[in-house]
Amino acid sequence: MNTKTIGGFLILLITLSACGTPYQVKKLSVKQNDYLDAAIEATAIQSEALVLASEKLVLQATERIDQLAKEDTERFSTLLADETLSAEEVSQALTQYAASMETANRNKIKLLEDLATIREQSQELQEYLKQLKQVHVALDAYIQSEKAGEAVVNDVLNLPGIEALVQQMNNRIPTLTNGLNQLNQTIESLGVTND
Amino acid sequence: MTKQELDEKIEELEQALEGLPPLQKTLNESKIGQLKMQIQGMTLSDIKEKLETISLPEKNDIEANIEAATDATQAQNKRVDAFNKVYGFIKGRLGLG
Repeated sequence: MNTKTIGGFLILLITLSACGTPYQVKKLSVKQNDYLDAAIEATAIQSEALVLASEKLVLQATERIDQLAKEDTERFSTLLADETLSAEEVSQALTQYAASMETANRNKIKLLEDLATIREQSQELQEYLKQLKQVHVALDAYIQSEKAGEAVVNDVLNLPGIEALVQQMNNRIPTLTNGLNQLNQTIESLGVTND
Repeated sequence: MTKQELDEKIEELEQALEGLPPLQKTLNESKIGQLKMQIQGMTLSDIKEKLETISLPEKNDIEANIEAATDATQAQNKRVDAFNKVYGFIKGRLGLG
């Protein structure tokens, strides 16, 4: 193997060692998973608190509606006990009473529907954050994936990784520049033999 | 109109009912009662409406983008693996190993 081939080989190694994602970026990417986990947990707690508060409000409002309905029932019971009312007046009173009970039921249902919407929206927000994390997991897979590039180094040179390669290159490059004899020694130490 | 203003209006209406004949009084009291029920029914309306203004990106779009990126990353890894194999082969042929 001539020096030109060795030069090409070294350029390849240097290029490979320079291609990786910087360590700080990889670290930030891993940290981002933690940051997103914290946001997911905080939103979950906040959503739970909102739903709990809403449930209490529904309970209170339902009790008030029931109380208003009860008052109406008593009111109409008293009115209908009056025997001087005409048939038409009784009918008018009964129609109004039925409407009142219908209003009570409709509004109690509305409260439950609104509560369901609040639950769904809170759930959706949590799902969205979880999905945001999935987005980052996919990005992180790519950011970390020059491990695959490092596999080139492992496979070709039997070195533990880019860092070791850089270290080894740092150690060897000055040696290589010190003359043919030393170059030959280095070639031997790299396990490279001339054909 | 705030809830307090609404309550004040209702109180005014209730006072105006004094002196009406029993049937008219009961019918109107019942109507006011229904108004109160509707106010109770609106307890969660503000919270619900606020939450409904949240606009999130389409779930399917996000999933599709995640899948595309994951596939591309895997394809990239396969290319690197393939390169490793070819490089290993060439290295062997050249007697570099």
